[in-house]
Amino acid sequence: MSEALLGTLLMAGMFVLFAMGVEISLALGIVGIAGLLYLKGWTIGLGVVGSIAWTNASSFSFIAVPLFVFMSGILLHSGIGRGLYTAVARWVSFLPGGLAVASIFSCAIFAAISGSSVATAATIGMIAIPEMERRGYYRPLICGSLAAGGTLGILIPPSIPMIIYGVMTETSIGHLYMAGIVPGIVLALLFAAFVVAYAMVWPQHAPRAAEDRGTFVEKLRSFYEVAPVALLIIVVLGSMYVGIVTPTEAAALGSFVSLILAALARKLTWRTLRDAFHSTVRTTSMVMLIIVFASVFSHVIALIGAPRALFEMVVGLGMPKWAFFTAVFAFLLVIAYALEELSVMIIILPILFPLITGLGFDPIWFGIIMIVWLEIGLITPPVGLNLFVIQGLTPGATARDMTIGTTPYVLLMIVLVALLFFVPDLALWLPKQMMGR
Amino acid sequence: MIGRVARSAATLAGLAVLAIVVLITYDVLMRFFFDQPQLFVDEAASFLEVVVIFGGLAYAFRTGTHVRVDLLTTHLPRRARARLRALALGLGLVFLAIVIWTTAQSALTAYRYGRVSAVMLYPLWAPMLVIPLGLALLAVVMLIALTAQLRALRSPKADELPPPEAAE
Repeated sequence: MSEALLGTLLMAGMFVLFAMGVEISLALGIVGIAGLLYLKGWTIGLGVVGSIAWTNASSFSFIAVPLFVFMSGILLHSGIGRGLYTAVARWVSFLPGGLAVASIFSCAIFAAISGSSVATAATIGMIAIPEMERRGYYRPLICGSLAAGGTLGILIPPSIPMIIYGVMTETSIGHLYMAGIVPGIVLALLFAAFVVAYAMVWPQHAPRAAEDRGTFVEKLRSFYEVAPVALLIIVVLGSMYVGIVTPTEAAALGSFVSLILAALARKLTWRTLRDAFHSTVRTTSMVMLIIVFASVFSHVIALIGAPRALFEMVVGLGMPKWAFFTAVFAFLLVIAYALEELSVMIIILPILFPLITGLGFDPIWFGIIMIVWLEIGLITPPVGLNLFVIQGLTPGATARDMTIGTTPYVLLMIVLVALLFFVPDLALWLPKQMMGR
Repeated sequence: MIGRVARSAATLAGLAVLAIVVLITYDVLMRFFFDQPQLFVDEAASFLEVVVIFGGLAYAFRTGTHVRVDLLTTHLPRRARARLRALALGLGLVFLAIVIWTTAQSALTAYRYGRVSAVMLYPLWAPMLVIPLGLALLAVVMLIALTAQLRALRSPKADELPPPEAAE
């Protein structure tokens, strides 16, 4: 059997298993093992599986994944989200659509201590949704601002998908973190500008209330309310930026400080802890099993030389860079409708990454592009996780409210991708400064 | 019964997360304030990470956390969907049997050759054994789901069964 045929058969087998509803992790493993058995036989072929599983599962960098999920679980009910939202609302509620702007900025700030979009949307949403409902905000506006604002959680560091991307492609996680900051701020400002413009055109969708505008004293007090968040940002990002800790260590310190803050707020019960345990363990097991078996699968793909063959094929096409990039991004957008995006990223990175960097795109820049693409996936139906989270938190919200509410933000994210394509320094300037030191 | 076992394994894995937090924090503080890096921490934390991942597999399955594509199966007639689920679980189990066998072999080889970790020379077979153990617990949970699914197929109104547990 030729290598091209074997590769095609394996890919086809993978899609059949996915379509049958086999768990993605197991489907990858089944195809991977089939390929290994065919190429290397029982003894040698299977021997590889054990070492791949061990290497991935015991990787020190991957430890940051459960740590950030755990930290989010502890912070969710700790009251830290309420303090942040109230404080931000006081400062920005003079703007049209002020409470929705506050949702977005609160998400952006919380993103600096959260590695997950779902956790960001849930923590801020839990507080912001009832507030906006009470003021009679238009439901799609509520849902959109939080579902989209929440996605900033993975673009603004720390970020679980960046950790996974960094380990899989051997790119510096620290540099990826730095590269996410400017695009994250730009995206937050784009989101906020959209909300303000929207509320100016349809003021009845965002009724104003005098009580939201804080007095001078209240504004001063808001600094005290955001102190826990500020402390966590220093611990999680500051410590890494000055270079005293690795990303994994920063995650551990952040979790430790979160535990202390929750205990001081008298919110640290065995129940909170157990719930955080269980949600951490579920997410970690799921993601890491996909990573383990995707590595088995990509080992087979590498054995038959697929990345190289694909690279030569693409070079042979003689496409201009922008056309190639557009084609890849369009393909990603389409495929994301059928599969959950993080899984897609884990599956295709081993093939896509050599191709992209081989054509001269920057590995860190491409990481940021992947993250923005993941953000889009989080708020597009049918499998956008943030949609489920926010819909679950908004009584009576329909899938239609969610889709109407989030579509403008999807367009803004595509604008950001275009900006990043034309001005790569938007992402790369900050990590360059860091490398220069 | 099996639900309790899976949940206990998940709680144990959760305690491993807590242990990682405490160990790494201790290491960073000792290094930063007393200039005494705790060399054992990196490897101990890596081993605990294996417990986190594989200890939680069965619980993740019972709560329906493992990602699946249901875009096509939801459009099938109920009976066909139920059959397909049984087939998928069966395939998954055969696959798991192979992986459990080969990862157990790896652990056994590590034991026989006395493989140890790079820095602290910890024996590697123990954390390596966690992999087949966690996978075996996942297999048991899946086998129970398969038998339940096959039993459900006997009824005329058979459908794919939902995950046995709701997530907390």
